[in-house]
Amino acid sequence: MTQDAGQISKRPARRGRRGDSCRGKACLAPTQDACIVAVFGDVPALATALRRLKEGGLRRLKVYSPVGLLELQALMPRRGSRIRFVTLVAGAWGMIGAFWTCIGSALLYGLIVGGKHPVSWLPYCIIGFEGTILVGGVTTFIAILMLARLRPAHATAAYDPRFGVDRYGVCVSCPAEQVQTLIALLREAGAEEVREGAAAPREESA
Amino acid sequence: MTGLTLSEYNQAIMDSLRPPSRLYWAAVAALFAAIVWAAFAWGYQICEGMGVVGIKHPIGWGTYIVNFVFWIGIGHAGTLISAILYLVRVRWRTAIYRSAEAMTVFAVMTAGLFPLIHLGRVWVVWFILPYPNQRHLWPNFQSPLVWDVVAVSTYLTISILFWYAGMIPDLGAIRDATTGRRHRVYGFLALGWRAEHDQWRHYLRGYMCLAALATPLVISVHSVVSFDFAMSLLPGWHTTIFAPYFVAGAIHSGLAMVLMLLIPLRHFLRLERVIRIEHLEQTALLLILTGSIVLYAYIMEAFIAWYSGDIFERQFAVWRAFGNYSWAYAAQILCNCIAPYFMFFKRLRTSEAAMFLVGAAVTFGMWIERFVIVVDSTAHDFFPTNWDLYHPTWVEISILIGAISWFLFWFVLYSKHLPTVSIAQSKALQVGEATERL
Repeated sequence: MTQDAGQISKRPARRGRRGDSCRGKACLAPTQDACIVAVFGDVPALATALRRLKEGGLRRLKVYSPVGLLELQALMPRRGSRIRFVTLVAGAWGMIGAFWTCIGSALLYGLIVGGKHPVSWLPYCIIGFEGTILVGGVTTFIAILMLARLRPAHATAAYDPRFGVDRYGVCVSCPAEQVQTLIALLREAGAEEVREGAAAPREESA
Repeated sequence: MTGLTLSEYNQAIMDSLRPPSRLYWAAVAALFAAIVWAAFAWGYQICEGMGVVGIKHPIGWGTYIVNFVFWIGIGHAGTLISAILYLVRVRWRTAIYRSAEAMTVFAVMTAGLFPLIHLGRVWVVWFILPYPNQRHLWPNFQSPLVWDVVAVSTYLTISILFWYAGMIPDLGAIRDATTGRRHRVYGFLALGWRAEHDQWRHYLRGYMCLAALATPLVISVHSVVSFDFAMSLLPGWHTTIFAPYFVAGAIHSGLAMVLMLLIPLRHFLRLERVIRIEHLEQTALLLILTGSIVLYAYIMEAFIAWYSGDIFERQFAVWRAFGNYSWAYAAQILCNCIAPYFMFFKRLRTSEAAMFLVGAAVTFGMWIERFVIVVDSTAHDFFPTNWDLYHPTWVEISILIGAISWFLFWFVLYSKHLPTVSIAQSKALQVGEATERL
């Protein structure tokens, strides 16, 4: 643990209204807490900062990056995703639904099949397969939208357009009395810029 | 590595999205005019009936079904490049996959029109949909035509979702770089993307799941299309080789179309530093592979006809090679199997003109191959009294030209209004090397 990190209290910071630091149109952290945004120029500096924040017990943070950084998951406050499970369950339901439609319609609509059973499993496998993919795929897409909270006009105050280009960002919430220590920690880790959680005005309305 | 910095990737794509020239809009207008002409031809067919086209007994499937199979096939390379090569982590795909995916979506949109046009009475198309009704009438789920409807509509849906999902981070980046009305439109399309890790972790896994679903789907779709033929009893159609034969042919034609689209696109949009010759070269190498599979299928088709001992299969195989449509059979072998082998030469596969010509030859050859498959078997079945020849009329030719224009119309609009190269995935390659060292 670094000296800077050691200066930060390990007492969990007070949680925001929805247990998050910066969400919605503005930073929702309680008034006692400050929201610090640090901008980094490369991944190693970001990784160093995340490592130090983790060592300092600061877990109320958001990380911004122009690309997905699943390699740094161990340093992130949250990891993994339930999407694979959602896809699996939805795919299974899709398959069941497709077979149900085929079998149900065959039993309802009495075609003359010359003594054979009206339910013909083999061709229904094709419909079952397509049902699996269709329901699984559509549900996966909806799950991405819901879990990643994607909807128009949803931006955070901490977001900076540079995070979509070539810069990495960390938005950390901490008690107000620890702001200077946190700023020093982030600068020492290699932050190019550290500011209190306001953003460029345009992105707030994006 | 391309030598581009992360911000240069954004800039290159933003430059490609600058307001288009008058020449661009003139091209769009010309394509639209061709679509209007085709719509007129279709309207004429609806008013006058199917007698105005060349389809007549015994040839019930003409250029409409040829076009349907052709355009479905074109889409396959897009899914191969975007989903299958994504799952196996092929790096060169990032520069070309977005446009290949767009090609898939527009090709399937084009293909989907042809069953409707071929139907004649298009207003009763809803009969094929499974919907609860008082008379308990349901489509026959044992019919390959119903499989087709289900497979193609699933393919279109998943292709659109996969394409759009891949664009979301890029749309967010474009939103941030634009102002005014464009900012609002891209902001709406970006769905509030803000490049947070919490978004990335769900997004990347979801994208992986979509890729995993699209991979078997692409194999299944053209297999199902091949079942339209293979489930029948006609000579030349009733064969178990059709599913892999169709899938290989589909990817072959799609790769050729990728070359034909991307070579001009990189020049018009000045994306030479992003879509580089190496990327096109890899596509050309894949063309050799798929061309070889197609050649193997052609050889096996002839061999099986002889080896089966079935006189109908044998006479049909001979007629296909030396009969009235022998020119088409020769053209398909030359264009689909011989032309790609020019790509063995490094000098040719690094020449844009040579790659474009080979792509054009294969695209033409694959359309001809579908013509041979669809028309030959119906023209020359079991009974000599049934034999006939097929001649498309101006209506079918107009609709063929209109379909090509329809496809290009959407692709041309896409090329100037949406990111043609994935910014996020291209940058991820560079950043990935940095994170691997951590």
